[in-house]
Amino acid sequence: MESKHLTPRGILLVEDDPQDAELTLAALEKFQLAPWVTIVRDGAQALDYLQYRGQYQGRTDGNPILILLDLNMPKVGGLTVLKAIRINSMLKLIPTVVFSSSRQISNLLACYQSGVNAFVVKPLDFNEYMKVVGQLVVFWATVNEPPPELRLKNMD
Amino acid sequence: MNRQNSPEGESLSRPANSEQFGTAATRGGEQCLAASQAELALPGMRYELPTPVRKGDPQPIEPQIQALRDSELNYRRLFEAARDGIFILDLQQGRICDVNPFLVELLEFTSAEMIGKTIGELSPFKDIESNQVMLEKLQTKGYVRYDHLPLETKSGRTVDVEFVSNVYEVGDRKVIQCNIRDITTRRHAEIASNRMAAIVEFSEDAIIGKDTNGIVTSWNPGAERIFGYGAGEMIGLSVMTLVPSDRAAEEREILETIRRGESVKHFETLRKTKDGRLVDVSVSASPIKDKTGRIVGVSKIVRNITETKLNEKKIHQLNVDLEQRVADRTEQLQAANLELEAFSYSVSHDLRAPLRHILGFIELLKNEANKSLSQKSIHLLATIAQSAQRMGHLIDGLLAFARIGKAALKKTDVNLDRLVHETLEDIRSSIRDRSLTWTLHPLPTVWAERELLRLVFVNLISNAVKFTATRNPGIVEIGWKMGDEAEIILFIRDNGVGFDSRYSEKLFGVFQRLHSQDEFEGTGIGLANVKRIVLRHGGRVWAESKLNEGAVFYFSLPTQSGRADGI
Repeated sequence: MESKHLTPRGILLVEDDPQDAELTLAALEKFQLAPWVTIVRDGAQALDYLQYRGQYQGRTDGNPILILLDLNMPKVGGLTVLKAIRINSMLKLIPTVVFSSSRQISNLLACYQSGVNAFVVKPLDFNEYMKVVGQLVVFWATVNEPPPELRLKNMD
Repeated sequence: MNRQNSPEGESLSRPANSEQFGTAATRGGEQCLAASQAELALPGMRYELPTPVRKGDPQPIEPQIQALRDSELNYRRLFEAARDGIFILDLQQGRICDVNPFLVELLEFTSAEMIGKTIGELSPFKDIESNQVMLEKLQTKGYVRYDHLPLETKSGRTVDVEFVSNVYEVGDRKVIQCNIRDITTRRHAEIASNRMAAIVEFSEDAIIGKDTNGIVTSWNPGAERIFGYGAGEMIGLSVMTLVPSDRAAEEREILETIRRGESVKHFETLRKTKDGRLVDVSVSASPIKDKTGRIVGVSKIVRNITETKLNEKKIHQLNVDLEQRVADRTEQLQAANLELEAFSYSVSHDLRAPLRHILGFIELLKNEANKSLSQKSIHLLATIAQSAQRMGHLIDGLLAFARIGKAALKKTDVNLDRLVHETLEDIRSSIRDRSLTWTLHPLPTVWAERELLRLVFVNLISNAVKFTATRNPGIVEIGWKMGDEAEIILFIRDNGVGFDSRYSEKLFGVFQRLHSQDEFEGTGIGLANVKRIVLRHGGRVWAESKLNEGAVFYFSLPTQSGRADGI
């Protein structure tokens, strides 16, 4: 199915760690964005989702307006996903934020070189964590001007 | 010996003079002949005239006496002037009748002390055969000879002499004449010469004499051993016999050097033995000069350095091996270090996630159960959170520690005054409500990595601030001094609680603390970081303290000229 018939909506959270996923979701809940979040557990699933393959063949919604991407994932890691997204003409304009547990310089560099929009380190302190998630999502979902054909409906 | 009491005998006992002589002559009878005769204290000693003048002989006495007198004078002169010692002894008893001046000088006895005694009675001769034996020898064989007789003079000096004794017939009398030749100098020369000869004979090195054309003139046993040629074979041959054909030029050059009057010292080369082998040698050669300074030959010492060379090779090989082992070990160490750092790093990272989860879920729990939680439950949750936070600090500390080892130092000129002031700015918030006195001496500029050095100051100053918490005011002094060996020593002194210097070893260990958490919070990793950073700069770190009397923390940095990059 072609995505141009489908309106972009939602946030794709790519996160292998269940606890991290739960915490992020809890944070997003605080901003009432939980219903808009789709969680995939690894990079392969992420690419399947974005490309309407495998279990996501019958997906009916369009591209997400934001991808929150963890880096350390089994099988297909975050950096690979990022690169795959950026060479795919259908996907390359999707705002992608790496949301990582570590600030390793090598990762930072690689991600920026591969065209990441932002790199955020998950804070240890939960309140900080909440604040950061809120800032992130609010920014990308409401403050930032998304690329032309991506417009989130039903979010207000 | 018969002593004749004759008028002649009496007159003989008086010192001679021409009058005496004349008096004796006018007495007729037997004459006493020479002036020296009068010195013979033995009465009755006479010389027989070669042409006896009988009593009443009408021949004129004067010319004959004159001839005799002249002859006697000549012989007397010889006796007096001889450069050998002469004893005249009587045969029957071996008593000394006469002694010449040379002997008086040599033995240091006066003639009066010697005349009348037997030779054996004279102390220099006390150790030779007894008088009796000598006399017997003389009487039977007619001579006695000692080739080398050591004598002790009156003053205790030792001289070596040749001693020859003969019996002479003088008319019907027999006398013993002893000739004593001083061979001390000759003896010394002999001994010295023998010593020199022994040195050459027994030397392990080849000692070779050559003439100025390179013909071998002497060849010692050492040379025989090294080269295999006997002395008989080599003497007369050219030294080129020993030189491998490709080194012929060397010998020419050596001869040239010698001809110029110079020496060749320890020239390492190869020479050929009789059986064709090549041997490693060290050659030294010097010119032999005669008394006029003319070069008449070459003295050459050739040392077999085969073993030395082997040892050199062994040492070289050992060094090469050692270098290799050091390189290997260093590589291993570096690999181990890298592993350790990677380990620390990944462990710290991997630990962060669960920590984050604990903290996160505590919050969620608190939010979830907010109203229904008892005070106690809230307290318990808070404790869990606190522990998790502490774990976070520890991990951060570990991470920082691991990070220090990773990258190469980026050194620049660091103005320490400015760095310290920046650090104080950074910790301003934590010292807002403290009463602190700062004594900041002007600090130099050092060559170091700024960020790491900042960490050092942050750590040390924070510690000073922390451990003076109970002091009012807390006094912190920061200064520096020149070290002994091209280093700058910085110090931070505080008037805080100090530490027990018995445990100062542990102070800089990772996770080591000398105070409990109740007393002062801390991870125990700050000083480990400080030590690591300072070591990487090639410096040292140490501390002095007395409990409750404050502490001083020192760290040194090499000065620019003595830059050391550490590991």
